[in-house]
Amino acid sequence: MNPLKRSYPALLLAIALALPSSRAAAQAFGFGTEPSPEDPAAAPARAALPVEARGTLSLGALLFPEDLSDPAGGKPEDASLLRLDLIAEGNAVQAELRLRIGRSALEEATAAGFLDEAVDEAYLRLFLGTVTLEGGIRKVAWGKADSQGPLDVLNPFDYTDMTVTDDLERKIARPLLRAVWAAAPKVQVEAVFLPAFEPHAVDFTGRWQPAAVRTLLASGYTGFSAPDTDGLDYAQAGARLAATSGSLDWGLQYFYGYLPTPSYDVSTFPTVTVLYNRYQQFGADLAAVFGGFGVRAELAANLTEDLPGDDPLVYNPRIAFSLGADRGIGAGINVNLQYAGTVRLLDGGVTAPTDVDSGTDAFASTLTAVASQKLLRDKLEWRLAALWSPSDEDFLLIPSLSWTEGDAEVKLAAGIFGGDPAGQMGQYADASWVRLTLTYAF
Amino acid sequence: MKRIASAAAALALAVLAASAQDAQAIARAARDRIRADTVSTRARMVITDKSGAQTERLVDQYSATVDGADATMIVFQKPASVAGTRFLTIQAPGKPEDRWIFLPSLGKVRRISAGEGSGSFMGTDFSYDDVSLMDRDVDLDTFTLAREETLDGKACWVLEARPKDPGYQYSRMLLWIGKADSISWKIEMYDRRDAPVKVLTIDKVQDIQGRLSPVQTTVRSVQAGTSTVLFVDILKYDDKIPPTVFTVRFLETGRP
Repeated sequence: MNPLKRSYPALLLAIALALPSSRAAAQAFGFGTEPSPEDPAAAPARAALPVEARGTLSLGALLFPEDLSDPAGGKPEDASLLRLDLIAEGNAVQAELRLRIGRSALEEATAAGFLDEAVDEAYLRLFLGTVTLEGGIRKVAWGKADSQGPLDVLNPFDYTDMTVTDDLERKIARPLLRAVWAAAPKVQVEAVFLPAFEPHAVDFTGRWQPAAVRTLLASGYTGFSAPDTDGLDYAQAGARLAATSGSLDWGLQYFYGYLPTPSYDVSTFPTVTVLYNRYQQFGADLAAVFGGFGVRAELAANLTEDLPGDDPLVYNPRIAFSLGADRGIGAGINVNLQYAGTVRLLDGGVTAPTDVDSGTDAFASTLTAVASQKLLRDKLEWRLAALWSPSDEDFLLIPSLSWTEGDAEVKLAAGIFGGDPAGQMGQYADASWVRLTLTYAF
Repeated sequence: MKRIASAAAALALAVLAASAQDAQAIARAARDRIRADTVSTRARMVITDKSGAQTERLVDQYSATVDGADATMIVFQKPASVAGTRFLTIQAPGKPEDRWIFLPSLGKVRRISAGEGSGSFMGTDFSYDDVSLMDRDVDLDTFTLAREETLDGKACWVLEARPKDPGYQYSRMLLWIGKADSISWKIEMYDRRDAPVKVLTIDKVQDIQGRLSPVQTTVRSVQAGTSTVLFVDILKYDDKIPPTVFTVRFLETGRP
C-alpha cells in the first residue's frame, strides 16, 4: 500500500487545473515572440487546455503455449492496457500524472487499491533558472547503458511479470526529491533523496515465482517476514555529475542506499526473515562514438557492509560493469551488443553454507544482442533480442514483428526461455509466451 | 612536343583547378545564401506511398551557432507515437557531428553515431543527413562544375559534389544552383553503384524577413516510388533561441 500514490495524483491534478493555459500555448513553438492569434499556422501543436492528455490504448492477448497441454488452462490472457499521461505546464512548473491501467488495476475492488496499481508516475517539476526541482513518484534513469546498467540504481524493477521486457515499463516509480543543476551548457549536477526504500518486486506465488523462493517454500518454510521499509530508517540518497568533453559524454556518481535484491535469514524457521543490505556505490560511465560505433560503458563498485566478506546475511562487495556498442550495418539494420556482469570481491570469506553468496558464481555475466530493421518507411519493423548468461548457461529470446500505420500499431512478440533450469532465465522455460497487441497512440 | 604536352596538361589542370575553385565558391554561396543568427521552423511532412496513401508528421526545428558550432534541436510533435522525442546535433568546424536523442520510452538521453544518418527520418523519404543537406559543410565535399543548363526557366549551374567521406550514404550529388539567386533548386543523390536514389526539388519559395526561403520541398525516392513533401508552416529568422536549448537539459525536459 502506498499512501503517496493515493494523495499525490489528486494534488497534481488540482495544481494542473489551477495553472494558466496561455503560457503552455506560447511555449509550443519558439522561445521569443508570442505567436500571433491571427496566424493559424502558429497555433500550438498541443491543445490549449490546462491539462494535456496523451497516451496509448492497447488491446492484446497473451498466450503461454505450455498451458495448451492443460485442459483447464490454455486460453489467452487479457493483455490490454491503457496508458494515460496528463501533463500541465505553467511558467516555471510542470506537473505530470502517468497512469497505467491494466488488468491488475481493474481487478482492484477499492479506489485506493486501484490507484496503487494504476499510478505509474506522479510528479511536479519546478524550473528555477538553471536548477530543476522535482518531487513525487518518479522513474529516473541513471547511467549510459541501454538496459539495466549497474548505475541505474534509483528505481527497483518489477519481476512479477516477465512478459514485460521494456526497462522503463518494468521500473517501479519511487517517491523522491531531485534537484538538477545545469552548471554549464555541457555540465549537469544532480542530487536525489529517496525517503524510503522498496526492493525489486518478486512473484511469491504465481507463474514467475523464482526458483530460490520455490525451494525455500518446498523446504517447509511457511512464509516470509520482511521489515517495513517505508520509514526514514530506509532513506537513500545519491549525487551525479554528467558532462560532455569534446565528443565524450561521461558521468560520475555516488549512491548510498539499499541493495534491491534481498538477503534471506533462514535460521528463523518456519519463517524466512528478509533482510535488506545497506551499500554505497561509486560509479562512472561514458558514451562516445568510435569508428561509427556508439559505445557505452559503466563501471561501479558496490560496497556493502560485509567488508571482511564473511557475514552470511550480507552480500559481499562487488564490482559491476556494462560495456555496449551499436551500429547501423546498412539497409536500415541496427545491431546492438551489451556485455554486463558482476565480480564478487572477498570471495574467500564465503564459507558458511547459509551465506547469501554461497552456491553462486563469483563472476556472473549476461550478453545481450539486439538486431532490428525498419522497412517500408518505418512501417514494418522486425526485432530480435537475445540474452545469454554464460555463467548460468541459459537464455531468453524475444523476437517481435510490428506494423505501424499512422497512430496505430499491430505487434506480435514472443518470449522464449531456455537453457539450464536452475538459471535465472532457464527456470522459466515453462513460461515462454506469445503476445499480440493492437495499439493506438493519441 | 613533350614541352607542348606538358603545357597542355598544366593548362588543363589549371582550368580544372579553377573550375573546382569556382564550383566550391558557387556551392559556398548557395550554402551561405541566407544569413541569420537563428532559424526556427515548424514543418509538416506529408508522406505519399506507392498506393497514394498519405500520412503526416509535424516537426519543429531550431538552429543557431553556439560557441562557433552549428547547433540544431529537432522536436517531434506528431504523430502521437513519437511526440516528445527530441534530437540534438552539434557540428563544430572540422569535427565529426555530435548527435543525441531523447526518447520518452527510454527516459534518458542517448548519444548516437552519425552513421545512423542514412536512416529514414521519421519514416519519411528524408534521411537524417538529408534534413541538414542544405546546411552541409561545403568542405565535406569536392565540387566540380558539370555543366550549365536551364531548369524550369531558371539558368543554373550544375555542380557535382563528391563526399570526401567514403562512408557517406551518397557516392555523389548533382546540384542545380540558380545563377540569379544561388538557390539549390534541385539535388539528385546517387548511391555507391551510381544509381539515382532520391531527387530533392524546391517547389516554392517565399520572401520571409527579406530572405528568399524555400517553403515547400519535395523528396522523391526513385527506387521506392514514394515521396515526401515538406511544407514549412512557420519560419522565423533571428528569433530569440536561448543557447540552453542546445543542451541535455532541453533534451530531457523540453525547457531551455
